[in-house]
Amino acid sequence: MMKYAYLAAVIGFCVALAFSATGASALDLGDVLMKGLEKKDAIIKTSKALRKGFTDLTDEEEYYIGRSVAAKILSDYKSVDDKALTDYINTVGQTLARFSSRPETFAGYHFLLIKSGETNAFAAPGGFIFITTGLYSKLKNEEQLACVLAHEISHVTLKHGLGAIKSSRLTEAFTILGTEAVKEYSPSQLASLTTAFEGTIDDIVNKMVVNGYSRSQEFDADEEAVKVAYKAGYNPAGLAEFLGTLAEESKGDEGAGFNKTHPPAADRKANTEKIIKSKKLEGEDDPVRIRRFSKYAAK
Amino acid sequence: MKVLTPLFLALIIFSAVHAGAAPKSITIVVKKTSVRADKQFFAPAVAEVNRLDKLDVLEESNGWFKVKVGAKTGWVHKSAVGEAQKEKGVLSMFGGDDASKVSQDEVALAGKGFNEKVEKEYKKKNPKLDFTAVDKMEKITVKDDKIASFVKEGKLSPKELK
Repeated sequence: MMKYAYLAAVIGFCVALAFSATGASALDLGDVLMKGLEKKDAIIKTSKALRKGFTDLTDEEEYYIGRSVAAKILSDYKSVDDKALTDYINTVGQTLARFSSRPETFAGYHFLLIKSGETNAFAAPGGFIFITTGLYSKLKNEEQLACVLAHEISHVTLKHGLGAIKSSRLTEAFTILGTEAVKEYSPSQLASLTTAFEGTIDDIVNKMVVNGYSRSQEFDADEEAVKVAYKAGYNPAGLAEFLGTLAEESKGDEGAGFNKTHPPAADRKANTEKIIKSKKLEGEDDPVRIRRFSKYAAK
Repeated sequence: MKVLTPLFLALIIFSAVHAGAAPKSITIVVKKTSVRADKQFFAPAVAEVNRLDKLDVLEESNGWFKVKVGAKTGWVHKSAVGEAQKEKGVLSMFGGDDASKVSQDEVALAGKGFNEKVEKEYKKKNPKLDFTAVDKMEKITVKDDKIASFVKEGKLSPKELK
């Protein structure tokens, strides 16, 4: 009998100890749970007002921003109407996206070849990626194509496009969103939000097409591209080789197209080679892929 | 030994209390995605889930969540899942230091933000923008089995970073 009493006392003590370790006594656990639920409710009610910067944008918002940026690009450039080539580029791109740090975006990655003699590529937020026929014509093999696409995918995963949005635009938008208690916008709120959205799109397009990303952003996208290509099984040296081609061609023409919006290709080539060597990310080309690319060579 | 007994029991009960609270739920924040048989993108899909679907988590491993969808179980990649929910379990909602973090699904649930309505207004203000071309671009998709055979045919051998 004494034994059972002792055991009951020990168990009672242990239960109290266990609950106290979770931050609650056995008696007021229900109270804590209720408080927790109330707190969760409060979080939901106020969370919209807590959003501060571009990293707080949802995947869905990023998608709508990306769609409008893509609409701007596709209003200036026409796409190449070649289903087989488009499918090929998309298959290479989709393969790489699955090895990126962000395989899934709100509506996935999509790749398009656009008609322009300029050597350039753009990545709109959410995964709308464009490469020009001018750039495509300079690619020598599938490894180079893969590395260029991996670089653009990396601008998306690193959210470089969203980072170009002026913070005042987001403050304005988040303030409108945070003060609204019901789901429907009033006409004036929708108008203000659309103005903030319009500015957001302009900020990103200006950065992507006119001013270019910073040197460090390009270097970061190169490093990420090397890793993504390596993980997918491509030879990351394709990036350094392609940058070598650009460096050669840009001699004496540093102010146009790709060179206008990117740091010197020779610097990027050297940096890419350094990353591949130091991180031991060497890979190998395969004749199968060389033959595959030649079927889709620039037309 | 008698001194250790209460501590031992406390440990068991402590574990039991925590084990009871461990299950987490996640919210899908992409338009749609597949729940896969294994934790890799080339694994067959066992179910399809959509934006704002809430799923119970059974396990977390290497960037993938093992979830329950009806009677089936499978894996969802973390990039398809709401930011706050994947970082904090149900318990931390009662904790508090990360409670101020904004959750994607909370914002999405509110039906607010830069959304279809805002795009519609933006289109009205910018009628020359080519959204038809964007819709067409979005329709370009590549199925998983095509990617798998493309990888195999191209002799691509995926590797882990060293």
